Amino acid sequence: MDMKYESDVIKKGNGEKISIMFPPLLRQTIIMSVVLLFAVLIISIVYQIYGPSILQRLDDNVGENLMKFARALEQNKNIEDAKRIYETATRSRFAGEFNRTYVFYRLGYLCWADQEFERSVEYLTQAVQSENHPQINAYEFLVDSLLRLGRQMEALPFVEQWLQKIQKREDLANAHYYLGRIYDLSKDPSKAEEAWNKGHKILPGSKASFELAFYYKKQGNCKKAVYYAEAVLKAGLLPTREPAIKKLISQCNSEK
Amino acid sequence: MGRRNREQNIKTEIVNDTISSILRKMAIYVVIPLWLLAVVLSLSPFTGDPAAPIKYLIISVFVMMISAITLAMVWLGNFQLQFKKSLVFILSGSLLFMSLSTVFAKNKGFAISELSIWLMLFAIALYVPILVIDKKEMQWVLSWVMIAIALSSVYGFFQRWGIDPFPWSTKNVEEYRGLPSSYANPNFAGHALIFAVITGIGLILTSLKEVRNLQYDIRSKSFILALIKLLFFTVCFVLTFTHLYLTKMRSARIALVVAIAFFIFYLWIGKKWTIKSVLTVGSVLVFWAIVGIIMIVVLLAKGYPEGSLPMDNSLNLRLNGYMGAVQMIKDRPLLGFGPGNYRFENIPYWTRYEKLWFTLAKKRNFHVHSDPLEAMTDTGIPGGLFYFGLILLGFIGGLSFVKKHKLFHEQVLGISMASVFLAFATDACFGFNMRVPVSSALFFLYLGLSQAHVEDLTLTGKKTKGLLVIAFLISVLLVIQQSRYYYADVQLQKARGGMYWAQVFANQQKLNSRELALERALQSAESGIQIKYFDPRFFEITARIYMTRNEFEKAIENFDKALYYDSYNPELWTSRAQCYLNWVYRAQIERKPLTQSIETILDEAEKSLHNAIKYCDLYPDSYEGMARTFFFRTAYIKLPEEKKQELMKEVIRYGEKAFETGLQNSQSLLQILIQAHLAIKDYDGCAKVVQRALSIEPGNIDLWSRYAQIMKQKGYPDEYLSFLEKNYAKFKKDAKTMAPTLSQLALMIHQEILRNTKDTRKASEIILETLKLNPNDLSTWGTVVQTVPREQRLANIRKLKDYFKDTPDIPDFVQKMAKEEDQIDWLEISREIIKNIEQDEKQNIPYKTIVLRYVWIAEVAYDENTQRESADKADLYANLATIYQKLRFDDRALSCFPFASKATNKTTQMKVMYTWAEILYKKRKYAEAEEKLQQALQIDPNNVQSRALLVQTLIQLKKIPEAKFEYQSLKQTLPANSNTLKSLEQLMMPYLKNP
Repeated sequence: MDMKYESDVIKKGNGEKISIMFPPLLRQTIIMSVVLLFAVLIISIVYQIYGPSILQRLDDNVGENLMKFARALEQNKNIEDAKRIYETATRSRFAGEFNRTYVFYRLGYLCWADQEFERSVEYLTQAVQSENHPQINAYEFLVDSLLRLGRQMEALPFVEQWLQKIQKREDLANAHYYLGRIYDLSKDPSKAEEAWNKGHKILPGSKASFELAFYYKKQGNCKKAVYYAEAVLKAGLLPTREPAIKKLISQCNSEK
Repeated sequence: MGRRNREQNIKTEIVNDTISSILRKMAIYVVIPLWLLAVVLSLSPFTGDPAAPIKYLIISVFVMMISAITLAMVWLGNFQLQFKKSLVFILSGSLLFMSLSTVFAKNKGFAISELSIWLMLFAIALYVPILVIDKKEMQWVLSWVMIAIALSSVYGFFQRWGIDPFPWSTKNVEEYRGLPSSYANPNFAGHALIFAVITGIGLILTSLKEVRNLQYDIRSKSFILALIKLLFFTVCFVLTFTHLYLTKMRSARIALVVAIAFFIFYLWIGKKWTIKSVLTVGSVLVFWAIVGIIMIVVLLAKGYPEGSLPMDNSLNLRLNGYMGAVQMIKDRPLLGFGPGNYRFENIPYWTRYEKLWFTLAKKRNFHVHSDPLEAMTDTGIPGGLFYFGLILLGFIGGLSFVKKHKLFHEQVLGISMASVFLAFATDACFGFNMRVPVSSALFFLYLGLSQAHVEDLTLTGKKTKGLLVIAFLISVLLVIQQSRYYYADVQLQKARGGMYWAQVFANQQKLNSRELALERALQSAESGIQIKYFDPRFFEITARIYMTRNEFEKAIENFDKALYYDSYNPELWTSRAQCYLNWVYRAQIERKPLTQSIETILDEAEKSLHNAIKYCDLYPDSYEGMARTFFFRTAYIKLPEEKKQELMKEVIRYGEKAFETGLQNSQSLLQILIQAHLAIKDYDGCAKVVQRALSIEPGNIDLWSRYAQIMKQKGYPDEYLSFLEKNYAKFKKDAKTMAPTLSQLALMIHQEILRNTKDTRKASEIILETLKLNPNDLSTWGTVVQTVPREQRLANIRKLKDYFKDTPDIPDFVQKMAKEEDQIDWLEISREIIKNIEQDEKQNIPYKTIVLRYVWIAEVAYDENTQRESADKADLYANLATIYQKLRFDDRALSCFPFASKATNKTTQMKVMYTWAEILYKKRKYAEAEEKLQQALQIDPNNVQSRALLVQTLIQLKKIPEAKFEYQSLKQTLPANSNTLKSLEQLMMPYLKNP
């Protein structure tokens, strides 16, 4: 094809030829492109040499990455996939011990929520069995799972461990509630009463108070039953259990 | 005369100028805005994420329209066409290397389809500077970019608030859960949003300046107009900026920071510098950036900072992906792997993390997530050079707008354009911006705009018209091509939809609808293949449809084609193997002949799985497939015992590996492992597998009885009884729903106590306790009855009925059997059992539960009536035979036939003979089966079922001429599309071909 070149700036001799072949814009573009290309190639070569060590380091905390991925799935209510990824994470390497036990805790909790108590016990036991980073929150679900499986004697040492590690008042009351339940299921009502009483004293109106209300009602001591029932209503900590408490109070009142 | 001619010429010239001007303005004021709205906002309901096919179709139509307008301007008008030399050089250089790498690409079809997209995008960059020549026009175009993207942000916000004007079929996808927008992906939105945000800053600044200039005359129309413009652009900016913030894209945020910093610097300081100085400073910055990055890389590699690296999954995946990309560039530095071929060629370069990601999420990267690296993996190092060329051309073009003496709004226009390219380059380091339809279209639009006013050499040609005609024809071809691709993608979605519905219908037992859905899906997939023959997704879906229809050979053919284009895909290799395995399994179940030997088929399966493991050794499905393959070898091929044992060890090895790599709850694999452990007499291992299976499915009665068998082999260890009792106690809490399992466990505990203590009374306690828990459950009654000697069973039922006389809801069958002997209507009972079994089967009640519920009643009926003579005895035994056959108690069924064959009713006789023959055939007693079938056909010569079975029996007896005769007579009575005829034809195939 016949091409005609027009130039805004006309120069003479070789300079003109170069300017026609490579106008300034093109020259600048090509030079800068070469600079950037070299930059990328140099970085690529360095990455090829040192990259494997970095990837190895990343691989060492693959457990953490899987944990984050599973947490995102959990937040999106994709529980099945979250459980699957957590499970893979339990077999992976972790850089931090806390994260490893956290994965066991979440997996155990999800199994507990799905009423898979055998599995939940398996994972939650791992979550609390760590010298420096046991998951304190896991104790409640672990003990609850064991109670639901009818393995109350196995639950007792865990409650004792839990009581030693608790820092919050609410958790302490909760632990005493579970302690009471263990004794209750082991047919030791006096110890159960004692534990629930402690729970009530620590946090009036908590689950321990609720249990005491029903315990005394069963004993035929309506006065005490109403006392603890009213404590539950007053505290308002157990809104889902209030209908049962109100029923108990009305029954006791009608008995009078 | 001469003067008149001259006047005429001037007149024509004016008319021509007017035509070309009208056409050009039409392109700027109508075509470009409409295209921008369409390309940004379009979301085809038929295509998946991203909505690329519809957007590329729109781009192709746009290219055709602007090429037609340009052609008309030159042809009809007086328009002098000029191309910018630098732009032409960079675009043609890019195209040249893309074309060369396409020639050497493995999947050339896919590379060509990608190349055609680049061709369209390059055309935008080439035509835009021809059409847009005025700065006001440039601002007009940029305003529409802003408007279109702001509108898409509004759409995205509505989706976020749950008000979706175009609802998606499912909201349960990642793309929707992020911040969805018309881009169908928050990341894709981010890439486009940076254009809008930076352009928005420029437009706000110019409007602000305009308002300030007019502030002394606030009542003038111009002031109000400027104020409205300012407000409008501010609203658009706020919308797009908020949208960008909500996409949570880190790279887009970094890009924005870099671009805004540059914007501020250049507006106040940089504009005083020459472009050369700016580029020199840029080179120095690049140098220091390299030094910095190298230092960071080395420090990270050497273990600094100590402790874990706070990388999330997406960063981790990118760093792993970059390693593969760098190695790919090293392997093919000159021409790369071809446009778009990264997705197919990258798998062998996967790192361990990428393999793990594929295993967990069933996902793989289709792009490097770094445009410069992807440019080089696609088209080699020269391709990388031209990639930077495209960006820098736009960047320098934008900078060249900014001169000290120019007006403020012109300076801002140039800086905002240069900043857009800088932001694009920064963002593209971590994404694939140039491969996403909207951001790539905008990039080339901006590139074209940046060249509109640049001082550069121009190329003009004498044969411009011819060139433009060719370009127009190519653009028409591109429209046709993109329409076809869009149509193909719609077909792909239809095929996927068909598969989805087939699954839904299968669950609902709507088999005709399922067949219809699959047929339509197949038609869609096959019509897609006609167009996108190079796209493995079409062959894959076709293969899966054939696999669902049990047409395994055709499925394998399609898997092979898919693997031709996507040779390293572990999922495809595994599916191919599964297809082979299903083929063998199905043939064995249905006793159908195979067109290849079992050895060959299993070899192929093994080969496929070896490849799958080779490319991804963390993929559990391939290990499961391998375990199944070895298991099938032991089951379907005659092998010496030693070899079988060896293979069983392999089954266990691969099975354990499958669970180790994350296979979830596969009961079928656990069943295989149980059998493998049993075969090598590893009862401890077997017990562990059964316990694992029971932890997944504690109610599975089959597993419990298997557990009992293993314990027997282990000599009933001490923990056996306690394990049973523990589980019994667990299930007791849920006695009603776990009734069949509870009764199975009760029976096992009863047997164990009896074995240990020989104390019948003590052993029976658990049985009675279970019956008390579930007196209305048939399977529990069955358990109780089974523990009593045969001759005492009926009496025992009566006794127990008396015991539970006050209990409501005692099963009807029990009440009917507890009557006086002469009042029991056994025939009616047998009919009801058949009816109940059929109902249970429809409700998908597990087989073992059905057995537990009904077999004991049949047993009692059988025992009580053997010695008795009655008119309906033959009918009763015919029914009992049917019950036993349904419950798969074939030997028991065979023992009923001598009584049943005495039936006088012809229909019953016919049914008995056929069922008898069917069981004999199943037991490979072909001669006896033939005899019964001949008798059946004597009763009813037109019975198709019997004749069809006779053909099969004769083939097994190698009585081929007789089989052919029977087949021909069937062919005359049945319609040509009959399924019976089709399956017989398959069986007869080898004999029909070779008379």
